[in-house]
Amino acid sequence: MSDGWTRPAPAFPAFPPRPGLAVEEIVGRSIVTVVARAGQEAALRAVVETALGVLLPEGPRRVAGQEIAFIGIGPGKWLAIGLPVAALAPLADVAAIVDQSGAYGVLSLTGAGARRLLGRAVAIDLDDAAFGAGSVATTIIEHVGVTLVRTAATPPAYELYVVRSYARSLAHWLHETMG
Amino acid sequence: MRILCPYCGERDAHEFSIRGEAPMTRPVVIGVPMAEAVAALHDRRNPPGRTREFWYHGAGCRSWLLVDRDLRTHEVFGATLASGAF
Repeated sequence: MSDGWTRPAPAFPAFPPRPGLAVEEIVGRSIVTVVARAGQEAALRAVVETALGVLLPEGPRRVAGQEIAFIGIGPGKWLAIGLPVAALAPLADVAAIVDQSGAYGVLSLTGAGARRLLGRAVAIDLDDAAFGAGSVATTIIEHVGVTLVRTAATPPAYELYVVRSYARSLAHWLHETMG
Repeated sequence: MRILCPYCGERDAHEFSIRGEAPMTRPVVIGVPMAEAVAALHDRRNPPGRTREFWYHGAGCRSWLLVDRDLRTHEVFGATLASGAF
């Protein structure tokens, strides 16, 4: 790999398309956890804005810049998506930066059927008014911890981040529920 | 029961685990009679009515919360992040 990191193998089996619903794995995406060091959240916010041109979201939201997106997963904790861990070196003084690209499997769920499918999975409000584009929820699907991201409003598009070792359990649930 | 997590929003109680009444104080178990040590380690007040408790949002933002709720009715009045609360 020319940019110095090894892309992980696919985590999920293939999902046959359904009317109004496409489920596809996103392979080879760089995922890095960024956790502010104690008392350094404001400093981290400033560095991210200067170095990457992104305003870190305060809550469970996704904010995208030109090359990188940040997903809020907890107070002072984010997933940085899109740039390899080396590109986040300027943050290392004020945050713990750990490459998680191989630790997660990522699914994209697109189409009118995506919300109905997810509505059978999570105990959160998925209505446009409550979970519009940019919304993020770290929650549970069938006992499996997931981070759900609404990436686009129309057509409804979501991303599902799951710890890789649970990918097949989640895939099993998806196959059963998609019918 | 649903808990309004200050980071995640309203979530089902099964995303959380309870730690007990807040604030916790370190039990004194050395240099005291055995019965007192056992009581300090194991006896909980479990007061009926409105109580502040520690809950951990392990399936969400992984934060420790202080939850204000009524143990008789399970009504949840609110929750704040425990970090920085003491």
